[in-house]
Amino acid sequence: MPRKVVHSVLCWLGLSPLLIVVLFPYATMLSTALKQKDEIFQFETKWLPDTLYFGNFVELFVDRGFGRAIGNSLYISIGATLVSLLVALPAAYALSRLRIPGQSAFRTYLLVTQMISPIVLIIGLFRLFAYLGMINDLNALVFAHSAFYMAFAVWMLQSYFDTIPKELEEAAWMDGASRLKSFWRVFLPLCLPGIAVTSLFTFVNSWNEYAISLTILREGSLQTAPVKIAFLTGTLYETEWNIIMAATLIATVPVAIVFASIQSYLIRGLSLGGVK
Amino acid sequence: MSSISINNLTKSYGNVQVLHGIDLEIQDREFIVLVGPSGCGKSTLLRMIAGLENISDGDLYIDGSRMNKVSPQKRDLAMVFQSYALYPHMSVAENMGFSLSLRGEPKSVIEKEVGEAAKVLHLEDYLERLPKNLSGGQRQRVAMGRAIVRHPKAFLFDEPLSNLDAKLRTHMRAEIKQLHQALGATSIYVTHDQIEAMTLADRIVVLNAGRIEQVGTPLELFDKPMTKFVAGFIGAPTMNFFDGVVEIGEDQTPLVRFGGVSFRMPQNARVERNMPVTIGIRPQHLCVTSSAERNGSQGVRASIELIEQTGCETNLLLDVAGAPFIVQTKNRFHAHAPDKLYVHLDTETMHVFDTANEQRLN
Repeated sequence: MPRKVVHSVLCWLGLSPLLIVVLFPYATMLSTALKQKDEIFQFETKWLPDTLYFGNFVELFVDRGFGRAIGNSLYISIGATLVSLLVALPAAYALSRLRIPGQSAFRTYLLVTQMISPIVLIIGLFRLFAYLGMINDLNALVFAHSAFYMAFAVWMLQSYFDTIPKELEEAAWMDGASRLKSFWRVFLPLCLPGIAVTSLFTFVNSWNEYAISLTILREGSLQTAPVKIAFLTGTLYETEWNIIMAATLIATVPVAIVFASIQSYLIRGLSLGGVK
Repeated sequence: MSSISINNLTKSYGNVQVLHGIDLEIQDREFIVLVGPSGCGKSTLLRMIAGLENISDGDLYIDGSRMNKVSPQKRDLAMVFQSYALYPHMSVAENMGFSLSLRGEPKSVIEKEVGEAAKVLHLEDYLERLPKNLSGGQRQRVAMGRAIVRHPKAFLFDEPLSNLDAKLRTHMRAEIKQLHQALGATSIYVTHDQIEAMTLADRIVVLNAGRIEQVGTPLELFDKPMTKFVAGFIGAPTMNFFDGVVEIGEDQTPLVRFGGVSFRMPQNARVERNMPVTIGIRPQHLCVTSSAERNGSQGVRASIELIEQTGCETNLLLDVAGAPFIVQTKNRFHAHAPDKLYVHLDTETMHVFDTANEQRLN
């Protein structure tokens, strides 16, 4: 066998335990979600269901209103991602390109805000949104999430912006581009990988967030997907694993879609060849 | 095309002053080279002309209008960066046409201009490529092309050849010179390479520690450097220097003693008795013989430290009376050259400088 094949076989063998750890929950989810209720509690567990049963999904969307929860989650996650990018992009650009007094102190401050657990702030946030009349308002979550993940976004974007050579913008200015135009036509296209990673993180964090969503959104119809899934477990006399697993499976889909659509931007070295 | 006028320009970063009152008049169509060691402020001066650095004090005029507060976008100058600074996400054609598309020129005009520039720069076959798929020399040409298509008031070059290998650099140097002759554009070119300065410039500006040392044509600077710094900076290998004290001979001619031998100094040297002077003499102007006497004049005893053969010339690194000297000769010297060597200095090729203020005295 050629050395290359041996090499890759060895690599796969080494990686396979990890692969099992990653894939096992998914396999369980998929297998359980496609089984009927009775089949799950059989003494001999089988990986493959007797028949492919999609009734769990139907029940989830028709009877339990899970579509609504997914919709709420999407609204909040996309909103939070957009709002935090909208603020973080100019903030990171300013931190990276302009000389501002107290810059490093500000960066440290951003980092410090990340050390406080959101749980600690929940009571304060609840009172704040109650005062603003925003309890049971999805926009409250959009703002709360974007505020939580903004510091991270600024930090991450600034690190990326620092890697873009300043000469590229200067060249654009010499070519006659205003600051805004050079930002839009030269700087931003080069930052797409950084922006993609940052928005991915923000989206996933917001999508998975539980505690604040649970606190601020009191009404069942406004629940987000993670909260809804939690409510599926504890509200009845029995734990309906088939429904729960169908719900968790569905909940992973948007993240997978976002990741797949963004990953083409994640290629490194987009700015290669511009300078030097 | 246009003229640029710089009056008493200064630049400070906080308390550190990097440029001290620069005065310079650049004529229309002139090729000016700013040259000096790294940290002398030449790039800063160029960036101030471009508008990328603020002007701390003094005035900058382009075509008679004051430009101090005008943004780089509105100065209508084109710049070629050391790093080329090509837009990595745009093709060669898009890179070159970017300034025109910003100006809102119609597509047909952009295509025509880019096409013409590409023809001049031999880039026609690469117009659709991305910068990352080009070689160093091609990238350099694209950067030039981006400047050409705009027909700017002046071209600014910030060490554009320093990232290329030696052979390509010589080639591109000639191309830049030809381009300037064809376009006749006012150009300001920054380099630390004195060969580039000598070959490209109509006039050279030698900068040192934020001050202008001398402005002149390449040959003026070579033949008559006004300070010891310029003498040492222009010319390769570097000029040889030795210190001495002026003596007055019997026939009232000024003499300087070196290595136990008295040499006549140039007649026009403004020196007086006991004045400390520094004598500079180019490696090409020294003569090495195996006998102490030549044409009735004495030579200084020297010993060989090293012999460098370049093919055309031989560089002899000598120890002459304790001072390191370089002699460049067309004669081939071999390692078994005689130990006893004598270096002869000719009066007419001497450059005399005041040791105290390093200014030229002849």
